[in-house]
Amino acid sequence: MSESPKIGLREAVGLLTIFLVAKAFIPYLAFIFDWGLSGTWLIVLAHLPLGVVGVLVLVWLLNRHPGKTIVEIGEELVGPIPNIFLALMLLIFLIGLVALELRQFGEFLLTAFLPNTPLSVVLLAFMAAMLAVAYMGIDTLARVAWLFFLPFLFGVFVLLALTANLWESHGLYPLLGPGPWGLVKGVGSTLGVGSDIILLAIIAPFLASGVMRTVGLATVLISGLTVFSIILVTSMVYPFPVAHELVLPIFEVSRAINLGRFLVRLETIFLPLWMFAGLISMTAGLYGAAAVTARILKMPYYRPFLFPISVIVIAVSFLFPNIISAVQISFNLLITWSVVPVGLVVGTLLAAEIWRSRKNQQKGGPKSGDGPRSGAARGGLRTKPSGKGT
Amino acid sequence: MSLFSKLSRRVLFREPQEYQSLFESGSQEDQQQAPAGDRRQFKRKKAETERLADLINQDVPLPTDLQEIKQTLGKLFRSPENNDVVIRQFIIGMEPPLQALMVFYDGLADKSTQNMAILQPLMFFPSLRPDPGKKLVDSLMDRVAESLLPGNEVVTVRNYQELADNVMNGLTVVVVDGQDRALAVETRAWEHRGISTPQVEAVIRGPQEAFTEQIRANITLVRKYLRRTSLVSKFVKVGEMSQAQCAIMYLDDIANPQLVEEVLRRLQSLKADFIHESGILEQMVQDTDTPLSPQALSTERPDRVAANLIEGRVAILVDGNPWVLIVPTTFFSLMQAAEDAYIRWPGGTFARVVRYVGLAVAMLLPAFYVAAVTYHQDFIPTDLLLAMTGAREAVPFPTILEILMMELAFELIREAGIRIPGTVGTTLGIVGALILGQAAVAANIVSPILIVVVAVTALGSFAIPNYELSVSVRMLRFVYLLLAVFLGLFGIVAGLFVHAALLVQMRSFGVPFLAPLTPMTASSPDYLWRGPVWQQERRPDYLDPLRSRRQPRISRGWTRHKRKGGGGDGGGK
Repeated sequence: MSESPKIGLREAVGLLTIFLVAKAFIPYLAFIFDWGLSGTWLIVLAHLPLGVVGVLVLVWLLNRHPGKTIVEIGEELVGPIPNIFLALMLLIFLIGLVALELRQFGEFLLTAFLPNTPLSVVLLAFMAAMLAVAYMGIDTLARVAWLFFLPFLFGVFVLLALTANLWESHGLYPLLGPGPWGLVKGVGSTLGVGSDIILLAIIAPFLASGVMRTVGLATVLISGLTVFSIILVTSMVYPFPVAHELVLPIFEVSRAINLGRFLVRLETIFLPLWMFAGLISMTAGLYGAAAVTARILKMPYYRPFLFPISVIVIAVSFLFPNIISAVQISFNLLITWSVVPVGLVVGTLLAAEIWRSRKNQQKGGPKSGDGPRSGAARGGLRTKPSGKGT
Repeated sequence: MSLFSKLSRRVLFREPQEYQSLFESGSQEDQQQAPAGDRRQFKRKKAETERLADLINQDVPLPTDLQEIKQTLGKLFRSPENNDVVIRQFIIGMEPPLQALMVFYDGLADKSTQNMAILQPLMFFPSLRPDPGKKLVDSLMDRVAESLLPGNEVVTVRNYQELADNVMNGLTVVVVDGQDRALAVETRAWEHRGISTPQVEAVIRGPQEAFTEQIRANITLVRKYLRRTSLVSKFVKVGEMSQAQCAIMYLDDIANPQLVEEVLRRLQSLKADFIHESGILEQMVQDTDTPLSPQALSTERPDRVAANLIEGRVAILVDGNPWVLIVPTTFFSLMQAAEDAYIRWPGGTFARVVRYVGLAVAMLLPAFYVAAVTYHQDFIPTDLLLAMTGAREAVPFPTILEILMMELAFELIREAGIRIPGTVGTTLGIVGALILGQAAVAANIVSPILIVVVAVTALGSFAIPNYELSVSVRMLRFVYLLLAVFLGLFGIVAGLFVHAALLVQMRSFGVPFLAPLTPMTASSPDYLWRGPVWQQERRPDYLDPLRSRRQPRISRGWTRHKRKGGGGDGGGK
């Protein structure tokens, strides 16, 4: 029986949140302390409203074209040839994201748990697990994400709470870190931290109608607050500049837990959390890249592309000579510059959509995307007049 | 036959060609190698067998000539070679006397019932009168059924298939000369085991009766718990060579009709040779052949079947088998025991938590031990690490070899314990485990802590309430061991990730295996933990039952309505 996958609201929130939060468990987020110093937590807090606005725009665009991914929307709005460039930008972003995360998770494992194992073995093991689950489908992955979502959030907040005896409030002062202008620059330079939400535009056709806005907002709020809590606690446990020097901030925080003779070295307990988060996040990225490729080539199946893309991902992840360069490049590409391709794609499509709507309005025809299905996506088909006397 | 097939037969399987050819009617080459006499006999026998099979399969009507029927029945039941079947000819003592015969299997039919309900009435008291305006011979079989045969169930049989089916089910078929119909009289009385206590799903509190090998008795046991007119038991014959009598049971006013239809569809579509056991049937109707978990709940407890039918599931019973299948099932159903509901909810919840811990321990503890000792020594507290290292100092083998040896030894003891009868088996288990463990430690083959790990793992696997799930977990333990050897804790986590995805993907009769957890659906608090009985208000939404509510929101009326004139809570006066 071949059915198109269906993803429930909870599953979608779980998948997207883990996709966004997983970056907090690998080294490159530590570079954000460069911009915010002791006020880094304010940068993350400032990302929240920006993220909400961004996701509302994205959801508006997706709701205008129900049942379509962003690649298909692009084809409809800007035509097939320009859309190939937009879709390629997305594809390169997703491949880069997975490759860089893969390298960092691999390096993290080597540093913390498997010092004598070759990096290639770890990366191939990661990729084997990711391939197997990506092959099973996005609905399976989303359900696994939901299965793991609540224990994941619970684990992260318990970990942070267990360090309460180490919190030093002076780590948050000076409160504005580099000053107001420095913070604004920091916020602007790290806008790409939320670019991963573009996955919503790839899984959109599989979501039930009317839940996309809830999914987007819940994802941004939960992931924003989680990353905010992690940065805040890290700042209090390891005040700047120590926090800036940490290779693995959250790992070091978990190592710092010391609640008596037996409640020490709890990083072992949290290792599964990080690994699961990494696996889910990278599998989602791998699926996203394969799905975008399939849409570009107008193929109904994404599976044939999984293996070739995984080979590319592995190759890209080996491009960096060492962990330091991998982390630095990751920060620059994923946190600073990733907003450019994602913003360009969404911005272009948004402009095209608005232009088309106005053009249609001037002609007196229906607005773009106001087909019979668009109402359903905004909250169900309306079969009765909404007001009295209408 | 291709060259490859020939080679594989000769080199790999070494099957003697001349005997094999007898079973291959389509292969001319092999038949040519058999002696000519044998081949003629084979062909004759094959033609005869096909002719007799056609009698059954093509609904050939009964002829009116008694001698012809007798001859055909003799061939059909392989009489006189087959000594079980009895074809007894007698005379109905009416005017004029009529030739008749009865056919039955010795041992399946009750002799005294036959004497009292068939032979005596027909031979000694056949005072039949025709219906007004009709000849007696026209309605003879109806009159015999109505007036002469006092059996509680008399069925008219019109063809050879019905005749054979009834005889094989223990009924006695009476054929009268000149009639194109026969009568099957209920005389079933084969030997069977009585209802006894559950052997595998034993409980301390709760009903103490289990299913038997009698399908009728089993249906009655369920019906005893569910006194509803809507409880349907539908019989289905399954199998080709020896058809097994199966039945499905469901509550017509609760179970989803599509589910019932799907169960029937799967059962009726089976073309297998021989399905005489619910385990074999389960393999034939399950959604996927994954080794991860069974996809049907097998139980020997009628109360459990009743509880599941009430929720909207369907039970499948197989004649001659004390295990009943319940479909669809989920992972959480497999981790439940009947007793969870019979004790107060905190106890039931605690028991479930213990079981889940047991499941995790049985599957992952040896792998965690190997990962910690091989890769992550820094995770172990220093004092414990020193003790472990000291104990392992004299052991010459790597940890993985140590643990594989002990796990294998334990599996051997368990398997041998099951195969050896009764008391000897138990003794072997205890003695084997004790002596092997002690001796292995004394001989420095394994470390003492490893014995603890293996023993706790075994206890964990015994805590899993479903035997087949327990077997799956035991197998998966070795997969996790290998992952731990190569990649430590990361290997285990990667394995769990794929394992979780495979479980999420599984379905049982269309129902997701991890429902209602993922996909999240409405349900009473009765999957991960056991909530209070008065909170069990909804049937599982994933079954999509016709009635979703089990009981009203206020199921304990006494909490709202005080006793008139009473003295309040527990008021005595």
